Amino acid sequence: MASDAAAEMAARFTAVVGEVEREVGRVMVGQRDVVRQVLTTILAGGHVLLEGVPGLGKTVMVKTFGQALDLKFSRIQFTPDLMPADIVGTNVIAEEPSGARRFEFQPGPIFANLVLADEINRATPKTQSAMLEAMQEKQVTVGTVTRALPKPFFVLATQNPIEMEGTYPLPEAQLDRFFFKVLVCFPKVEELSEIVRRTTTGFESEVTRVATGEDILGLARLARDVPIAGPVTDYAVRLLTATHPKDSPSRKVNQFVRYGASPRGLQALVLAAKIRALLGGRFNVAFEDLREVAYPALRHRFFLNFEGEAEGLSTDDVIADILESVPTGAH
Amino acid sequence: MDPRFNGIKQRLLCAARTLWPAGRRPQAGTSPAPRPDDELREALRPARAQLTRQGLIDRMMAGALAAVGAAVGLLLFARLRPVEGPWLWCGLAAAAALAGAFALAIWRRPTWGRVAAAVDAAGLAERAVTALYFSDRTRVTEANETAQAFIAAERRDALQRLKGFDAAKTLPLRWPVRAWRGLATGLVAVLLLALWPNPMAAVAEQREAVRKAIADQVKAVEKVRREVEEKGAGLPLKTAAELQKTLEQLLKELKKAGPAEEALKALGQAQDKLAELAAAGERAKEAADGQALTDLASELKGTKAGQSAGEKLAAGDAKGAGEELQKLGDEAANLGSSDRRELAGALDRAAKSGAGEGPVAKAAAQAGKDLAGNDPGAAALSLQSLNSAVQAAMGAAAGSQAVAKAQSAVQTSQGAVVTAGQTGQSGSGSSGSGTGGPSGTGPGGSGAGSGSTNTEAGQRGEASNGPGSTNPGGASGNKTGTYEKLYDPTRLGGEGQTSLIGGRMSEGPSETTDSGQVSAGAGSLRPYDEIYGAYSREAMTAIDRAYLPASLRDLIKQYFSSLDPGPGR
Repeated sequence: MASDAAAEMAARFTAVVGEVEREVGRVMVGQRDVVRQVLTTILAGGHVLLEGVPGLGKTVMVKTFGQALDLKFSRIQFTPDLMPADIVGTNVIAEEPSGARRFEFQPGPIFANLVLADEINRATPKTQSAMLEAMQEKQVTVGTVTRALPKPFFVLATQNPIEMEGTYPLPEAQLDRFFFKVLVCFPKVEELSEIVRRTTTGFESEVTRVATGEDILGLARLARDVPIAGPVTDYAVRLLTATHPKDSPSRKVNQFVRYGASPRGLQALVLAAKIRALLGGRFNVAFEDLREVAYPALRHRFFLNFEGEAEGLSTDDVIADILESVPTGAH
Repeated sequence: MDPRFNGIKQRLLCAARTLWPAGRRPQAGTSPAPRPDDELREALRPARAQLTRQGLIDRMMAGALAAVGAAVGLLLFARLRPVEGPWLWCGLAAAAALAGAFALAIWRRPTWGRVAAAVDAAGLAERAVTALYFSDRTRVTEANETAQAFIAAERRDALQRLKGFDAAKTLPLRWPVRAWRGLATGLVAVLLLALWPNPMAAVAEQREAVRKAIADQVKAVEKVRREVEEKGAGLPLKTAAELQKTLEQLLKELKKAGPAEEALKALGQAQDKLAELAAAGERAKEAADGQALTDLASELKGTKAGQSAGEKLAAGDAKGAGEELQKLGDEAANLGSSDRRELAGALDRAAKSGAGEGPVAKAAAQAGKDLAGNDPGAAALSLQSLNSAVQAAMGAAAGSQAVAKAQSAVQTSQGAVVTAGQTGQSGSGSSGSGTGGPSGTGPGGSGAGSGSTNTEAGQRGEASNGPGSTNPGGASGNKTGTYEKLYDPTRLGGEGQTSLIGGRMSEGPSETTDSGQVSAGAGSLRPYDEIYGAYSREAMTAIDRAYLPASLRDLIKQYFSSLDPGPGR
């Protein structure tokens, strides 16, 4: 029976995600929401921007994901002198045994399944833009040759929100390519104790590979088939359009927002809501799913104006106002 | 577009959003909910019934608030403007609001989409909405195999949860407390307005009385008009048509008349017109020698041959009398000599007893002469002439009666309207709105006028009962009736001599000037008909000199017209 098969697939989905979370949890202390959001991004086939102060375990978490998912992992430390070729690779002259010389492409660290772009805002815009094609098209072009990146391909970028000196804020086009922007919060007191115990003793944890890249691609396809009712889609549309000033039902948007979110925001909202529904044991998307994923999916996609910046508002404050002022509009 | 309009547009939009919050507005891009299949409908039915009950409560409460609001508004308005039957209107408004609310609650039952949304909001997390959305099979077939499996699983999950959904418990009925407070406040306001005396109530009562009186008089005038229409054969065609037209015009005016003044104006105009018609009728009647008819009927009844004609003549049966007179003319040659002499004598007496100048008297005298002259042919011809004269006289009399009846009806209407107006005014005495004014002139006019016309129509007794009449119709029912004595207005008008009244002796010298040129009767009480003309002329001169609204001029003219004792009186 079709419904039984669906229940089985959903159970498999939940089980795999549970196992990955458990494996990551062997290394990471706390940050469950962050782990869930990163995993959601991976299952949606998107990229995530992790924002948090140094030392919160961002890099460790990404490395652990690479281990648990049996994916090729690479790390790029972004610095002001990093060049695009350092990321995508370059053609080098290679000498054959016969003595002939030819150009040979030397792939950069971008050619991996899971790429950690550490402190991405430290690189120059020129270098940052080298990531654009890779993130959106999942391919890179060097010279005249375009090369596909391995599947699955995920970029997990980090940036430090405090230390702004010598940084280059990501352009809007670059930000829009991140599926989620996840805020990594400071650990709780009890979590800090556990972190100390794990890192200052002989504690060693073995991370087991619980899923392959193929598994991840299969789960991503499954998540896209979760049904969503028209009224729920309409609500997602209203949430997105509410980020645009002038006609927004949100007072804060009309007053403090310079520019609203792009349609990629809507795609992220719906896809993330579908994954959340499956993880919640449901076969349908609920309004609550959309409300829950609205923060990571939209917070980096619209921009405050000068007045909003001066008021010290964050985009999360505006999203909260949007969620309050946009009705679900059920019949 | 002018930038100023953008600001206005924004303000209007803002106001609209305040009045109609987004939650209640249809949302752009809202997907229509399909009709659920039987299984899903059955699962949703208890929740729909519960929501229908809730809608009924909400709408009835809104209806009650609207009813009370309308009642308060109406009662407040009734304090600014006179409203007839405000409580009736309040009741009607309240009933309409409640009935409307009930009808709306039944008509606008919650849609299946709304039911599904309400159920989802109570904990089903959009399971019902999704199941309802995919009740449209085309949406399922568009999906791929995995998605179809998910849709089937979702539907099973939704139905399972709906079966365990206790609508009464999960969607309990809410009694709108704020609305109750508003309702209570409104009821208190209605109560206060009911207890607080309304200064406009008396005015409204007066208007209502006038309206009823006008409605009654419309019926009365309509009755007269029908009678004229049906039995107006005796009138000359032109007179009948004019009388009809006058009455129809009066009916039209009365039907659209609002305040008493308008009705009185219409009645006054009709009165004038009827007076003209009556005068014309009278002249026609006199020309036809109506008195001679009575004498002829009386004399003929005493004869053997003409008894039947005399009786029919006396009964006013114009047709019957005509036939009998025609028959008498045809059989004139066959009459015995004694009968002929008897008939000739009767006709001769009839001719001499009346004025002797009218056509009937002349024809009677000629017929009597021809009958006595033993010339059957001439007698037959003269009897035919007599028949023609009699027919004409009877027709004129009938017309005069019809006009008189119409006049009577109009006069009665005037009286009734004025009475209605006065009733209301006397009732409003406590509020200080009772005044003299136009309606105050009505009673006198009606009473005096009736006295004068009685002598002509001979049936004005009913009109003399007009309000304020001091001259009973009975007293004026004969040609030599006496009129009430009034003060002789010898010094009316603007250019007469001025009498200066001296101040008090203690305040200085006084001076008195003799006005002179005072008529013999000046300052004395004289019969009404003798001084009417002076009053009337002065009034007409005065209204020409002073600025007065046309309606008031008409009212004054009607007043004096109704007082007119008639020519030669």
